[in-house]
Amino acid sequence: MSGRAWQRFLGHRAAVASAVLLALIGLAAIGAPLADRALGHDPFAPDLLNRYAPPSPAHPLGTDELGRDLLLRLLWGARVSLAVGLAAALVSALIGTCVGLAAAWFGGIVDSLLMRLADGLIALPSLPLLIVLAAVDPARLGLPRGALWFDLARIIVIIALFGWVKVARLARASALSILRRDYARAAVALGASGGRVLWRHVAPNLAAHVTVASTQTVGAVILLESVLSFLGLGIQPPTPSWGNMLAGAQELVFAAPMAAVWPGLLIFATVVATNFIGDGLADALDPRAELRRA
Amino acid sequence: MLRLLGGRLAEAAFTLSLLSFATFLLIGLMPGDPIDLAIASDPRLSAEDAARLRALHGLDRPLLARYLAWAAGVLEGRFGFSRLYAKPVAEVLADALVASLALLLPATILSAVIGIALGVLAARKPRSGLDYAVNLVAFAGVSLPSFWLGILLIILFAVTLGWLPAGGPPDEPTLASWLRHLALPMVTLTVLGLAAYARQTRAAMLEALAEPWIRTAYAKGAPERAVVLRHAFPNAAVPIVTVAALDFATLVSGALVTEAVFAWPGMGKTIYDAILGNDYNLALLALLLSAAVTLAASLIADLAQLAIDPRVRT
Repeated sequence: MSGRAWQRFLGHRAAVASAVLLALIGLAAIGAPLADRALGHDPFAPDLLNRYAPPSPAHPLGTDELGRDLLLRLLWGARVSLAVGLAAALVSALIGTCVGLAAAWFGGIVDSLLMRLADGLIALPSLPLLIVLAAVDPARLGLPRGALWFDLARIIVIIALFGWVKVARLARASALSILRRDYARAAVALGASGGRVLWRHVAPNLAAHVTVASTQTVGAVILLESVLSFLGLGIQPPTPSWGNMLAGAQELVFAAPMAAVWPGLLIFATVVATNFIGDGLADALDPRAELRRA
Repeated sequence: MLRLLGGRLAEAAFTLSLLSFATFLLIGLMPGDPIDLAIASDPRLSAEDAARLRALHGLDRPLLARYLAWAAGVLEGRFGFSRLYAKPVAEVLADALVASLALLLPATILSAVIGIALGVLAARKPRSGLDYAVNLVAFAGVSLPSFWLGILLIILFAVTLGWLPAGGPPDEPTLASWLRHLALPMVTLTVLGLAAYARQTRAAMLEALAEPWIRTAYAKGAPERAVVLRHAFPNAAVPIVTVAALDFATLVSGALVTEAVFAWPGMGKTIYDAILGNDYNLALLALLLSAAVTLAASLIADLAQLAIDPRVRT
């Protein structure tokens, strides 16, 4: 980002506050093992004599139905939820950019095939399809079942499968307009290969748009992960994610209502924050924003 | 116009058949088949019985053959039986559709009316306190996990206050019972739904209000009410119609998550149970139905655009 863009971003108070909040949540998630040691609990070990303990110095937010520390589980859940959100948004951006560039560069039948595919995916009700995909038994495809890395990879792939469409349309539209500019045509005329033109001339000009679009998808992805985990199809317990913690807590609202409040609050705060940052970035990276303010 | 319609219909048919095939394959990849489940529930069934049952139901044939048999049946109007409900699929879907409509129709209308009104009010005075408030509501609505809002409402109204039931279908066929069970999910869906309308309406109205003919209207002395409602709003209606058409399409696919939270027996929950319960007759048909309605809604949105906006007709 240029100096001016930075200044514009810093002028967007909500976006800056959101960035600080997200950084704090991120740091807390990274520091989860330290917090384990500081409080002296194992967030994965049940402690059945201490179920539903109220908040106390030893358990700042109390304990869940198996006597595990709620705060520590929230921090470990943050690792999973944030990692899935970022990774799925990145993979979607990558696929979307490649598809968009390919459609813009090759044109013709490639273009119409890819864009039809995108239209088709948008038109379909995505949640039931996501559920179908998430319910597939990995053992039938010769893949390991139950491994954490596999759960993570699977949910990232599933979300990316639907997430690339928005970026692809954006990338295609921008690439088409860039390819018509003189410098891009000059590069083609000078005999530059397709890969070189796209990489050296088109991709750098695309970066800002794609960044904005992907920031805005991070929030949507975190929501989607929580929905799938809530429905029991995402990350499987005992590994905590905000979504599956909420699913567990819903059955216990009468016994421990606060256990259902915290994970949701974190999801909400994170998603609001990424949306604000997306807005701030969109303003900051949009050269027309300056004209509008003047 | 007719060519457009024909092309879109052909495309939709292609998409639907592709979707049905992909879903059929994927459901085939889910853990266990109906016979496995039958064995699990009845320990007296032996391996020979299972093999005989598989052959009887055609489950020993390759996937492609099974798919073709299923598709032929559907095209002839034989939708088969639901395994979970032990009823014809069409009957199960009809019940679920009624339950979904009872929940979603009022929620959709409420969120459209409230959302559009908020959007218009916010756009009338940009950067006012009301505008910021509407923006905040819209932002919150987009960022709230639907199931969390539902759970919070349950905690407040069902656990703490004890005014309303925490979920489930109505226990008596009286209007009061229906309303009591519908209240919480309906509020959830309305809050979440109105955000999209408010955002779209506000953006479209701001754009329309910046047009030169608005200045002209003010200049010739038209009152603000008339300018906003008669001059600006019709021009802002096109994107709103698109949102509304896609929103109404969800009437048929149901509100999966909200229905799951409140144990409401609508389409969303039926689809979810059918997929997880390996009830592929039901799952496939419900999925296809909701996909078809969504495709139809986006087609209707495009046609409505042509009808209300002469500028799109070229």
